[in-house]
Amino acid sequence: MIFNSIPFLIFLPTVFILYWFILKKLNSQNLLLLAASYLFYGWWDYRFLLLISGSTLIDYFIALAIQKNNDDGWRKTLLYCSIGCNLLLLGYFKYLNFFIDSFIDLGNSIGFSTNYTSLQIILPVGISFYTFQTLSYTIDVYRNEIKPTKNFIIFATYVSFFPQLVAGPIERAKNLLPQFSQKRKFSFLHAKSGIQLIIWGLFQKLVIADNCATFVNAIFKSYETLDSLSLILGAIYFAFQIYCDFAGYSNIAIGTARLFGFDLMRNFNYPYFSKNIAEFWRRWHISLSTWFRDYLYIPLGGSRGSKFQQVRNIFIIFLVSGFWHGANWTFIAWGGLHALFFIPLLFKKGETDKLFWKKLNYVAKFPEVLKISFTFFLTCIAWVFFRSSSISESLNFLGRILTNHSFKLKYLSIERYNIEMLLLIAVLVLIEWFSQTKEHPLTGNFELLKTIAIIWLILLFGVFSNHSSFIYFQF
Amino acid sequence: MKIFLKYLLSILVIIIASLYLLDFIYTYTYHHGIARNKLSYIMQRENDTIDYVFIGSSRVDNTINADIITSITGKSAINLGFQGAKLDDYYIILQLLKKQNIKFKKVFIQVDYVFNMDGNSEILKSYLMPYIHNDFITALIKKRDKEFYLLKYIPFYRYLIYDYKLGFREFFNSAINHKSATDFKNGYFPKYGTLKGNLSASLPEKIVAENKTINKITSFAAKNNISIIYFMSPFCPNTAHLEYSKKLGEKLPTFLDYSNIFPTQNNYFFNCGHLNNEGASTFSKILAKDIMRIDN
Repeated sequence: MIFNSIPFLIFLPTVFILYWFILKKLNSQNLLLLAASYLFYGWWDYRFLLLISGSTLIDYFIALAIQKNNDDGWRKTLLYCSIGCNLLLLGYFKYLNFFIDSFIDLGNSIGFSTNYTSLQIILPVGISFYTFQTLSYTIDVYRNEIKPTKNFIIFATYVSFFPQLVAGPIERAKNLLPQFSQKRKFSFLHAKSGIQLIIWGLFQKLVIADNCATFVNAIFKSYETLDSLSLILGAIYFAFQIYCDFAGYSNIAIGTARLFGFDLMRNFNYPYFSKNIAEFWRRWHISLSTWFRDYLYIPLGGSRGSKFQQVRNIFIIFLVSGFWHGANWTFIAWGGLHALFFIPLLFKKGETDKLFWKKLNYVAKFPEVLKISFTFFLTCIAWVFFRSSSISESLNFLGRILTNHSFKLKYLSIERYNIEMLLLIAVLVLIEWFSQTKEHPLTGNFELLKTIAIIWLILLFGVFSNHSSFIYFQF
Repeated sequence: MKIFLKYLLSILVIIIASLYLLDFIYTYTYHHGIARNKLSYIMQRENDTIDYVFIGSSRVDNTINADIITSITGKSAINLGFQGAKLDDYYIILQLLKKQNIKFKKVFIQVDYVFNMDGNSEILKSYLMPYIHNDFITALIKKRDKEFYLLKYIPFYRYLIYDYKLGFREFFNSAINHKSATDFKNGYFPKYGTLKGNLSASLPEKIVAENKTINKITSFAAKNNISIIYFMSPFCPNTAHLEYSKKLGEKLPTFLDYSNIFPTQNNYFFNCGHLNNEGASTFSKILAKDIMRIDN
């Protein structure tokens, strides 16, 4: 079930009414949320439920065993068991074909040919998200940062909580688990902000992401025949498509959770206004970047140690992050590029602000816009790799931008005019620019007026013709 | 909770009121603005007479220049080809012409591999949406769309679902009376040049025993005293299973086979199934002469 669909439009109010008006006891509410979450997830394919329930059972019992055991060796063994089981599931469903294909390609390149065809494996929606969520639980239990819950319903609901099940935010047990144990009280302001987040998320998804998708699909499909400007626009449109698709989903997820009295962590903080790549990663997919920071980067040594170790850690975290997104070299290249963009900051740390930018301070805010634009430019280069189906396609795409030298603002054959899309993006950028101090643009003064305006923009410019899924579901 | 429900209600009221208002504005504009597609053109034209009507898919839309037919035959003609149209769409157009009391001497219907298919074109269906409250159109859509009740009774839903054809840009262009690139009196939409690469296509090896929609069209024509001539537009030289056209000819009462009329001229084609402007002009002249021969 996807958020921008008719079934969800029926599902959400039904669960809401049952939750607040009929099942007022905590246990009943949790049980309802669990049943609703399983229905939500099983809507895609009922077989996925076996997988998530298996993962839930493993981590529930292992976490309890870790807690009971005082022996460090056993605790570590149990932790490795949990990590191994989760990574095996992820590896089988998401990466097996990639590894097999890569070995075959390698074999072919050195003269060993085979007629092997890829296995038919269905990738369960959102597997990377809930796997990471359960992993963080057992790791935190092992580190004695949290106590495991004995209530299986609560744990199962924590793993499968429908608003954030398939595309995050990847919640930490520290934040979310206690919320299932506490009696939820309905708060008007909390629920109202939830509705506003849902409306804003729908605007991002239906108006910006899905409109951009039309252009992006057309441009990337026939990039070999298009001119430089069209390809530049293709990269920019994809930057906004992926941002609004994912941030839109996150906002709807956070808003939906608020309707049930839950607080999920913020996942995006206006990332395209970042002044460097480090800041970008503090604002983009925050739940994933902090996950990698806490469970991979810091254990590797983080920013401590020699410059070589720091560089190594940066590369590891970005390459793994790229690989997390998908079983394709393009995602690894995307991660690698971000690592490359990040490295200069390691060497210039502390110097950049003092020297270069301070000299330019007299041009008022101009350098800030320059820094933001340059960071956005770097992310766009990397997004080309993220969107392309192969590394060679990415390189050809970027190469054609540099070699075509034609910059005519033409409309696409599907009669979608660039100017309309650019205007919609400009509206988004302006709205977000003036809302940077707020969680989302619909809060503050004239709330109702702004909400009505966004509803009208959704009705007038939203894409409803095909309920397109969210990009991050595939990860 | 009460305050929240009031807030929610106010949002819902705003949404519902917006839907009604937008539905009214869009419908009014599409009904009263300049016709921007062939279906609107038919809907705005009543009690008229056209000698030759050409119905089909893009293989009519991009293929027959009705002005050339008129200049050679001296009779009025119109190209009512719709992108992606299938046989049931042709039947809808015939019924609409009848309903609008548009009289015609002969109808030419392009049939090829569509004989093996059923179903409708989403594009033609989208053009019907502004007229969903017209009883005749209601009946057409009710038979063909499982979402009929949502389309008819939820305000603005039809414009949301068909946003790619009836969305804001189309509404805006209608509102400012911005003319379409196609002259609907003619109805021909030319393609220019030839696509790069080898032109090739393949027709089906087998033909279905019968097509129920063709039967409906034939009986509709008989009942209304309409003279129908089926024909097949040209395919490029490198087309496999061209013998399909012979099989088709055996299934249709009157059939003109132009599938292989340009056996060597790749330069007449935009792609294998569609003529370019040069090819369409040549073909329209050939067709016009054949029509004169048939009429005489």
